[in-house]
Amino acid sequence: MNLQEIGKALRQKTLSSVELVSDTLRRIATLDPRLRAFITVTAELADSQSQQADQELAAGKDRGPLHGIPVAVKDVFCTQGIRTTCGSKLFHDYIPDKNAAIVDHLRTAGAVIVGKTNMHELAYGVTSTNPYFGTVRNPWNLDCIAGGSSGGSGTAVAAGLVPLAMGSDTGGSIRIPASFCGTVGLKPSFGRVSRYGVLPLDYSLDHMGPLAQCVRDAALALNIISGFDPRDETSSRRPVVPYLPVAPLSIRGVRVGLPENFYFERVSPSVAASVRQAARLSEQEGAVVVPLRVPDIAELNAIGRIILLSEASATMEKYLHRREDFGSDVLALLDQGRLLPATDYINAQRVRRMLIQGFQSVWKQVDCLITPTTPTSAPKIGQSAIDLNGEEDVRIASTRLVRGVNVLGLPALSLPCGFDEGGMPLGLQIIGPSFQEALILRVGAALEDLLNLTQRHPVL
Amino acid sequence: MPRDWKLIAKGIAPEILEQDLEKVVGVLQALETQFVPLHLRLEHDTEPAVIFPPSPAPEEHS
Repeated sequence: MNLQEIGKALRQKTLSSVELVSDTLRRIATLDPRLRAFITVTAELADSQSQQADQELAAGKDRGPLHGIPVAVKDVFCTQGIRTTCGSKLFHDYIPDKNAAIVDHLRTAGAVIVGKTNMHELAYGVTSTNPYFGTVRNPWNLDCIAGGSSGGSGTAVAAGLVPLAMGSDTGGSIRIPASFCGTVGLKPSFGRVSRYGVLPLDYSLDHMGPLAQCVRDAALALNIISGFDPRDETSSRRPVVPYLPVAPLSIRGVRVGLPENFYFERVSPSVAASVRQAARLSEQEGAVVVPLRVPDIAELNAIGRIILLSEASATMEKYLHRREDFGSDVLALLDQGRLLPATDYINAQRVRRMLIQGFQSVWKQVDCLITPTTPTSAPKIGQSAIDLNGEEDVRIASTRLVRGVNVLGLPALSLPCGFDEGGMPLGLQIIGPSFQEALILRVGAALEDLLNLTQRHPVL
Repeated sequence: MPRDWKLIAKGIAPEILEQDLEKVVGVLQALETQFVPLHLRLEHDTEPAVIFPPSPAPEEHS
């Protein structure tokens, strides 16, 4: 059931929040020892929140579309009185005295927080093979990675443990697990969702957003977590608009850009075929597919890596004397960042301004872009390289098509677009101009309806 | 001229162990090769993308 269907059942009293949450907790207890999607399950708190939700509904107090619905949040979001580890040994006993803005928004909307999801250590990687909290498994094939860094959130939604989970995305960390796990993942525009109370990785690249079962659920969630927050200096004052695509859904006349360069150059044949097929389907609904050349995404990726290496190492510098408390992959990245001179960081931010200005030309030609999210389906756990016309490190390959969007601060949506020959899900990405989340969600919902993949679930 | 990352590493503390340094040098060299031509294209007056906001005005005291 999607969020709207669950909400309807709760209001019609064919289902109670207590029943729903009890079932969720049972399913987590049964499946999570294999999946490792959660670091902390807040069963007692969830029980009490679900009882409150039922009592409020019975008394006529309706908090909206998430009222009484179980939701999980990545363990990067501070939760008052509840351990928040950031997937790291460094914070294994950190108990915040405040909630992240997202958590407050979810609670105000009546959501029941059932736990904190596992992740790549410090949100700094794409595999979610966490050395301290266990490797998150992909529900479609337990030998494959879930992606990262929001891997636990991707697995929790894909496995049906929760209908909705929150993630963070600095270089693809919402969209990569969404693609690998066959869920929807939305990275909103920079400034759309408050970063307050989120343990930072990179001050100018971190974005927060939902992983969901379907595009409309992601849209509902975005309306709940968006809005100006004076506690986050990068928070935008732009008004929040209704994001849920409404019937009759039309994409007639929408100019959908299909890049001729970069995005399809080193992707698996099944990924390329699925994304192109989705673009063709959009044409059937009246969209105008426009082949175009986009500015050099490799340049964006290089800039993104320099900014991330520098900012992440600055953030973590005070802990670096505890080298044994970091996983080897994260430590290598932190060491790289320490060696980069300040001049490189400043120049990277200057080049960023130049590339952002250059990318504006794209939006004169099209309304949105459709690209693959990841070049392949989920790699195997422990796999270090992907071979697509030459070997490429798994982290570099997995972030290649998504990282540049963080540098630009644009909204991007990943949704399932097919399955490969091994039965693993594939994802496509819709990128839009700044603050045009409503548009990419509308195009995404139309494609989702046409592709008709949401009823296919992993067997566990 | 390419940077000598190992020499730079000698100047920082806490130190990066030799075996850890081997893992990062090649990556940084490749990244530098991509990055240098980019920043050479910058106009002299291009400012960084991230600009810190001005301080709020001091509160008036009555």
